[in-house]
Amino acid sequence: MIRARDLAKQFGHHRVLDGITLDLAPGERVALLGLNGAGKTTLIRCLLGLIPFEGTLQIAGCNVHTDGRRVRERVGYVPQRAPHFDGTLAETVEFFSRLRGSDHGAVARRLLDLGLDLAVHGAKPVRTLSGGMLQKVLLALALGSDVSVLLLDEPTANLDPRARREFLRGLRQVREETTVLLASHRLADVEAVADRLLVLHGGRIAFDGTMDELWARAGAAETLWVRVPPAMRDAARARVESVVHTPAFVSNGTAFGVRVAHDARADVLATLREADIRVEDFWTESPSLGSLLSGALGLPIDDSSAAGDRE
Amino acid sequence: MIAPLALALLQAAVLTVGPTGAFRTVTAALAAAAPGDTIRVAAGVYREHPVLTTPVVLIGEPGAILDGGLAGTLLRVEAPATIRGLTFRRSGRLQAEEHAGILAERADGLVIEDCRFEEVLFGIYIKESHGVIIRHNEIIGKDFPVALRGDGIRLWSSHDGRVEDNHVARVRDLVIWFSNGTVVRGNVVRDSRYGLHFMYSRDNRFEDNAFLANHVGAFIMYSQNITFRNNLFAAARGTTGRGLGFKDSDGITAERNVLVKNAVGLSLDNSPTTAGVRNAFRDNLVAYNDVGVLLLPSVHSNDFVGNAFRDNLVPVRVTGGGTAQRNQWKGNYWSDYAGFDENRDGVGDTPYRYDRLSDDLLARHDELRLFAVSPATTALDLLSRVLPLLAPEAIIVDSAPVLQAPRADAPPRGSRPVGILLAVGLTVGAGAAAWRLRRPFGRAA
Amino acid sequence: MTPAALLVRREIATALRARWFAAYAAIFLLSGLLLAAVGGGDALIAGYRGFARAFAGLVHLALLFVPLMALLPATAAIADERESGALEYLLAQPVTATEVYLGKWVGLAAALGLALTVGFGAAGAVAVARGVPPGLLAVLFGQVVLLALVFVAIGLGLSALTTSRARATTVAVVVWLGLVALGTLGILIAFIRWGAPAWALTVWTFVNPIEAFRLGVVSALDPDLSLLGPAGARIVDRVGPYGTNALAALSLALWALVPGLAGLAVFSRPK
Repeated sequence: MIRARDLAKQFGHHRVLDGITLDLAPGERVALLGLNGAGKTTLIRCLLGLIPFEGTLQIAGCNVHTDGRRVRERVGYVPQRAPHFDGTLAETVEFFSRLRGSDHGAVARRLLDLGLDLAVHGAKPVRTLSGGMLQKVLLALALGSDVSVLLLDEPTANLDPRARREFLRGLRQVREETTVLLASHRLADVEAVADRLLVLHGGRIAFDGTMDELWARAGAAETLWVRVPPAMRDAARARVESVVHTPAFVSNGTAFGVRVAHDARADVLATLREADIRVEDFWTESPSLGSLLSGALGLPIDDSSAAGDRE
Repeated sequence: MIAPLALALLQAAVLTVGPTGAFRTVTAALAAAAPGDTIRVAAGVYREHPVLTTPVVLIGEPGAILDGGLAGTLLRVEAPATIRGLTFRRSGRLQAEEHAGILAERADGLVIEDCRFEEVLFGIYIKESHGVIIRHNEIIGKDFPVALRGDGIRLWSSHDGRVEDNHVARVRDLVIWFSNGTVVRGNVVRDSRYGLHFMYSRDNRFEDNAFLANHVGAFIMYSQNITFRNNLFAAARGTTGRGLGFKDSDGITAERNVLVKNAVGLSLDNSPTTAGVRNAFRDNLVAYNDVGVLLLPSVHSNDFVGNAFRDNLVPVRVTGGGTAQRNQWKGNYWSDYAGFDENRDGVGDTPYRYDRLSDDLLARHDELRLFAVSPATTALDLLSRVLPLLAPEAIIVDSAPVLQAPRADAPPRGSRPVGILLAVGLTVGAGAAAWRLRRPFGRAA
Repeated sequence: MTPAALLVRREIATALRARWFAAYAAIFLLSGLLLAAVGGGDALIAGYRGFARAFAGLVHLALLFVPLMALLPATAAIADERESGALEYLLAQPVTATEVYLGKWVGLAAALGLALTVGFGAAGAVAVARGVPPGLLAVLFGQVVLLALVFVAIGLGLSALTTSRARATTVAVVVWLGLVALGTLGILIAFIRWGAPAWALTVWTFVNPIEAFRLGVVSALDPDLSLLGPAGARIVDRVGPYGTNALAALSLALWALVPGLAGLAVFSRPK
């Protein structure tokens, strides 16, 4: 469905994309990951034909360079933040539906499925609507004409948790044969949507695989926090460090944490039970996507350099 | 004196010209006529170039036409005759030979009236004939470029003539040179070069004439004691367009004339030219001209009193810049006067002062007139209001400006209901369209 | 409806709903009515009517405000949507950049045209009622519309070239000042102080759209251009009275197209 060969893009002296070769099959659910400035948005803009690039890029059999309009007919797009269009919601929906050649009724029904009734909200000016509502509108518009490809550029980045959950739920409506490419910083989004992950780094695709493979590549990236009675803490730490072979670190007095591989969490807890150390509580803390990527890419772990949450 | 004349009249015969007349041609009748005879020309076209040497009365009946066949002068006159009611058509076209409708030489007391001249080079050409009367004729020149045309009426070294109620159109000039004591009254001259080209003449009066859409309405040079009263000078356009102009002339009186819509209403060059003489311009209406009064720099000793200067783009300009204050400006009406009359005596409380920077600039540099009514020159004027340092010397100051226009004008005329309807329709239509086009989408929901 | 037609209708609607539209229509209406009432029907003197006041008023009103009023929304048109992200979203739809740009162009032009028609229609009715020939009014109105189109094109071109609205507006005001007054004053000074050739004045008059408009209006009222002195005479001599009008209109027409097309070339060539 998407076929890129030696895709490259240079801004001044900075080569943002440096030879991307890629095939996405119909129906694939792909997450596009990368540190800040890795070129995710640039790649999406190339896919939409909004900027010129080197190499060849075909979507649904059409050449993006020469046949941008037909490509965009087949591609739905949801940006990170919905612009505040002039006019009311109903006008905006009608205008973009007609522009995309979508059935206006179908879009309205889809909006209803997403929990947004045009009959109720249609007369409201777009600028009075919440970000969550707008993203749903854009999603409905993007899907309206049964597109072949859905491009999502960090669509939940500016949403509160509830709106984010609703948006991700809405993504389940996507037809099976539609190829979805989601650029995201959020592990939860990626896990909810994608079964294939692409990591952009240095202008190239540095990783192409499943989530598990990414975890494996990144190694111990999850933090397991364990709370034990204070008297047992030092014993517990020694015990755990012998299993995971990494130093534990202490936080807020009674709990301590260790970095563990995704599948080694059970081992840690088993060790403690064997030693009759009472585990009062435990929880895991997912790493930020940034630290996961840093791990996978072999970069020094530095959460501040990663694309963390922006909220 | 009287007895022989009466005798002559008693003996006068009437000679008829025409298909059924005693003579077939005017030439033949003139040859047979004795002084005092009357020749009646019946309707018909006469292709001949007669010469009048006997003092007769030559009368054309309606439809009597002398046709020159585009060659030569139609009628030469060398005796004090009366010519009435004839149509003169298609003279020759050579300026060097002065081809004319009527060419009169040494024909004192000649009367030409109620005649019509069509496609003639010169219309009526009078040389050295005094006391001539040219009355109620219609003269239309050849449809040539103006430089190739001849003069509608030319009075040359002919004193004490009267030119009255003629209608002259599409000729070169109406010329009066070296002719004193002429009265020019009630004529209309239009679509020509000089409505009046007047030189080296004294004691002439011009009354109730209309000079319309000529290059120059009337231009007076090297002359003395000239009176213009109740004339209309309108629509003299073009670079040299002037309603009324004087050069080196003294003793001018111009009263109650209307100078409207000319490039320049009135222009004065070295007039008066003699020390101690003053010219008087009183109660004239100077309106809608690009420049109301144009003065050459040295012009002085003219009195402008009680005139109305109304909506001229520039009321007064001095060529090359500078002031016009060596003339008297008093008690005129200025439509752009911005003062008040608190004591209600009809005279403004503050003097009228004209000192626009842009006009000064345009007067100094002729080429810059290209920027008349440009926003840039308006910006200059605003600037000179804010920075009085930039303001030029006053071009004129009228110490007692009159607030009420001394003449009542025809009020704006309401008309053209179709145009009004159309314009109203435009507004309403555009408004309705705008209203409809505001919401092209979103009706479905 | 084709995408292009949809875009045009949307842009017209957007422009018509913008606050500036109502304000402009009101300003044109009031000033036009005022002008027509004060100067539109000069009294008939000996069968001649003066247009000096109305004409000078119209020229200045048109020259000072129409360009600025066209420039401001036009310069904002693209920069605004670029800043809000609406432009990128729009371009991600099955449209071409050319269509989006042309939509804005036509939309702005139509909205300004309507605002002018509302104002001048009413003023025209008053003026005609007071005796101004409708034919003359039609010519003047056509030239005012052409002037508005010139500055829509300039504004839109600038909007495509600049990235932020603030900068676009700044540039617009500078361009306006330059064309309305500063450029001409500069030429005047060059002529007076350094003896710039007279033909430069004439060329500037045809090249500067503001001055070309003035020339067209003067020419419509006074085909001899006697108002403009020897330079005017030379122009009429060279191209004739209709030629003056035609050249001025040609200059305006070029201005109404070229900056807009330049902007289109920049805008439709992606960065």
